[in-house]
Order: sequence, then structure tokens, then C-alpha cells
Amino acid sequence: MSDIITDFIDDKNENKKTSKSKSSSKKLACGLDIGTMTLILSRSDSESAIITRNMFLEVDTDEVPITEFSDLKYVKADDNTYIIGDDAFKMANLFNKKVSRPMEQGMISPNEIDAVDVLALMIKNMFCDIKDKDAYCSYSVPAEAIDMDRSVTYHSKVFTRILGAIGVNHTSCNEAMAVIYSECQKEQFSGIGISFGAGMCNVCCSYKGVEAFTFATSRSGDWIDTQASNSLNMTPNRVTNIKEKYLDLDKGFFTEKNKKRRRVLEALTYYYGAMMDYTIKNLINQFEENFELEIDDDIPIVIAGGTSLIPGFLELFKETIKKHELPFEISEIRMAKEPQTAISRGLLIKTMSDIGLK
Amino acid sequence: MNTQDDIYMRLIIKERGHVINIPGYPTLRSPCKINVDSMNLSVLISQLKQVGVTNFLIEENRDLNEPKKKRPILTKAARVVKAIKEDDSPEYILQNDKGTQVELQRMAKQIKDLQNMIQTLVDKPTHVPTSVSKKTTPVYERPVDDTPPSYKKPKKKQVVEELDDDAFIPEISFDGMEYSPGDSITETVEIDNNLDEEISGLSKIRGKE
Repeated sequence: MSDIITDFIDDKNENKKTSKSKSSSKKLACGLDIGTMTLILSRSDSESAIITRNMFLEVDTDEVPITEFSDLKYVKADDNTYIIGDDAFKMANLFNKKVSRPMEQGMISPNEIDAVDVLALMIKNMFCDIKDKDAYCSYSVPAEAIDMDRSVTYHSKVFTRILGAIGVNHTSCNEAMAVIYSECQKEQFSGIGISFGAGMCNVCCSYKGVEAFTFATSRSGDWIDTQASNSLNMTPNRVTNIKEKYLDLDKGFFTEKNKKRRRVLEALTYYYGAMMDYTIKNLINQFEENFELEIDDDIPIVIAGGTSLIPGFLELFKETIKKHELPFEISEIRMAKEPQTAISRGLLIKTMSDIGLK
Repeated sequence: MNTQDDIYMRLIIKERGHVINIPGYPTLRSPCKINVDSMNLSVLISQLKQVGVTNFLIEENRDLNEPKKKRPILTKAARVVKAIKEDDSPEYILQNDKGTQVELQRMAKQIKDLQNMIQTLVDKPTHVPTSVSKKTTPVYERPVDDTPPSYKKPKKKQVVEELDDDAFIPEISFDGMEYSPGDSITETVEIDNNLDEEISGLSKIRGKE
């Protein structure tokens, strides 16, 4: 098992083998889903997943004194004060401001100079106190996007450094592969996992626990919101708000009485369909180009991620996929048991398998 | 005797450097060889003289014993109609342009020759040596492979990005940072934490159990 443990990078001691000497009772396994919209941490010592909305709002403390923030969650870094998490989202909506996001399109935002500091603080806060524990964590990374010219290397290395600074042994894992780990045990970890996140849509085809191919597209939740907001000349977080509160792809938008809201829901429904169509087309292309094995068994498609939480998502996906001729046989298309936490759960399973913890 | 189809008249100019403009033909630069069977001979010669070409040859394969076939006389109006209706159509060119006809016949003959040659090669028995005077040693012996050739789709080359270990990664320091007092910034959600089956299944399939 020692060779498994050494897969993890132990930055705090700069010596990978030190972890072997620690007792397994103090071992803590974690799975950290680093999403554009939310950070989700599953831990082996807890039956709950810890969730933080991955966003912040910088406030000028000269204009608004810090005593006004008594009920808000904020952090101070040097001379700056940031409202973070859900509070940032609420405040931004209240004042019609655009919330700052440490990440965009699945990776660390190059536009936000404070992104890394805020992310580091959020993650540290999520792990809480792990000083007396030997913590191991698998964290999610996106695949290289087929429609975006950005490397995941920098993104991955920043999280390596953040987790190292916190004192966690860490290794990375593809986001969509984590869906397979979480949901495809009965199919011997064969299937197609799709994670519809906020910034990216990640797809992985796995055959018996081995990644056959992975890819990502930039068309996911944020793309839908941006397209809809551009069409209707609204701020994207207003659209996100309406989406999260009112969108039901099953019911449709016709029943909505408020005309403005109805128009937003109509646009959102259209762009949901367009995003699914785009993902399926790319899945077919990637399968034809990269997959050379003959699979005897039919494989499932499992959907997870925050963007898939909208009611009626699965039905619309099934309808959309019917329009395409697939180069493989599908046994079923299903949602992950817990679509929002499936990735962190899968990462936790991987970590526990890696370090031999049950 | 030549058939009607074989008849042609050809102008050959071997002298170099003349630029020749013959009405109805593109500008030519000598040396050149051109079919001029639709041209009036005297018009052609005077045209050549105008541009200073004196050394030329006009070849004609018409049987000299055969009386020259008279061209049908067309009225001016009829000629104009004919020109509009037929001049540009491929059928007209094939039927009336002797040069094209000759060229086509030449090509047909070449194709026939090629067909004959291929047929000869196919019919010819493979070479079997009747006696072996020298013992030969094969320099390279290729194993006989009876399996039909398989065609694999060419794999798209993936651009492998080299990891740059020296790439800039910002330092992480928690000095000078503080949280708001009170609540944690996080919320919690209950999850299915019964992972034993998944962990043992994954460990098994990865050969770690």
C-alpha cells in the first residue's frame, strides 16, 4: 500500500514517505470538488458534505464600516475586505452588482487578482482543523477544453500549492471520472460520466475503471446564463437567480405569468437544449476518434453537477440524445443519486481506495 | 485513304521568337504547332507574312487525289444563327472541330494500347525458372502474411503540452488574513456515506486489493 500513498504529494514535509509511519486511525480521507460555482468537500469522518459558494464581493470599508457586516461572512486580506460565499451572491443581487468569481470556465480566473487568496481561505476554512490528522485529498480538475485555449496545468498547480500550504496530502482526479467512481460500481466502473458544472461541461468515458478519454467544453451553466442575459440585456446573476428559483424544464415556461420572467425562462430553456446538443455531438466525435475498443456490454450515461439540478433536465437530455445516432449502445441514462455532491463523493471513494481506508 | 475524320491541316513554325496573332486563335509564341484546318490558307499565309514569319510549314493529310470537299454555303444570316446555336456546345465542337476529333482519336488509341498491354501482362504466365544454375541466398525474407490488410483510422495527433515546472505559481500565505467572527462560511448537506461497496469494488478493479 505504501506505493499507493506515495501517489499523494506531501508538501508540508516535502517527504512522501513520512506518511507511512502514521497510524491509520488518524488518517482522514477527503474528496474536494473544485467547481466554478461551488466548492464541495466530502470527508471520511463526516456524513455531511461541506459546501461553499465559490464567489466573493469586494467591499470598500471606508464606505461601509465593518460593524455593518455583523451577520455576513467575510474575510480580510491585507487592506481588502471580501464578503464571501452565499452572502456575496445575495449582496450582489441586492445592489445589482456583478459578483466576483475566483474561477471562471472551470479554472482559476486570470481576471481576479485576489482569486487565489480567496480560494485558499475558503478551502482552509472548509478543512477546519486537521493539525492532528494525516489528511489525504483527491481534488477535481477539468479535462482540457476542446473549445477553449487554456491549459489546466496552472490551475492544477495552484491547488497543489493551496492544499500543500494547508497541510493536506493531495492528488488530482478528472472531474467526470469522479462521477464514474461514485455512480458506476455495479457496471464495474464502466460508463460515461458527464458533469454539467457552472463553468464547464466535463465528460469522461471509462471502461472498467480506466479512463478511455476525457474532454471538456466551455458550454455549461454559465454559458447558458450569459447567452440568456445577453439576449435579454440583463446581468448574468439576475438570470442565475431566476434560473435557480423558477426554471422547470418539465413544466416549461408557458405557465409563468410574469412576462419578463417568462421571457428569461424561455431563453434559458432554449439554451439548455443547445448546450445538451453541443455536448452530445462532441461526445460522439470524441468517441469515434479516441475509442478503439469493442464493448460487448451496453454502458450507462450518468449525469451529475449543479447545472443538472434543474427539474426536467434528465428528460430533456434523453429527448435530445434521441435525435443523434450514437456509436455505442446505452444501457440507461440516469442522474447521479446526489447530483451536486456526486463528484466529491467519487473523489472520496478514490482517496479511500488509494490509501486503503474503509 | 483518309476518312473524313482523319483530315487535318497543321501549321508548324520552328523558328523561335515570333509572336503570332491568327484571327480566331489565341496569341501564339513560336516555335509552335497548331491545327488550322478551319482557316483559309491564303488568309493564314498573309497573316504570317504580316508578322514576319517566313519559315513555316503547313501540313495537310488530305488525299491529294481526292477532290477537296466543298464546304456548304451558308448565307450570312444562317451563319450567325449557326454560330449562336452551335458554336459553343460540346456536341458542335466534337462534330465540327477536326483538331478535337483527331486528339480524341489519338487518346482512344492510347487507351486501347494500354488495355492491350495490361491484357498481355495478365495473360502472361509467371516466370518459372527451369533450371537453377546458381544457389541464391535471400537477402531479406519477408514472412508470408495471409491476413487481409486492416485499415485503421489515422489517430488524430494530440498536442501534448509539456509541463513547465518553472511556471509561475503564486505563493500561498495565510498571514494577514482573518475571518469574520461567528459562523463558518460553509453549509453542510447530508450525503450517502456508505461507501464500502464502491471502495472495495474500485480497489479490486484497480488491483489494489
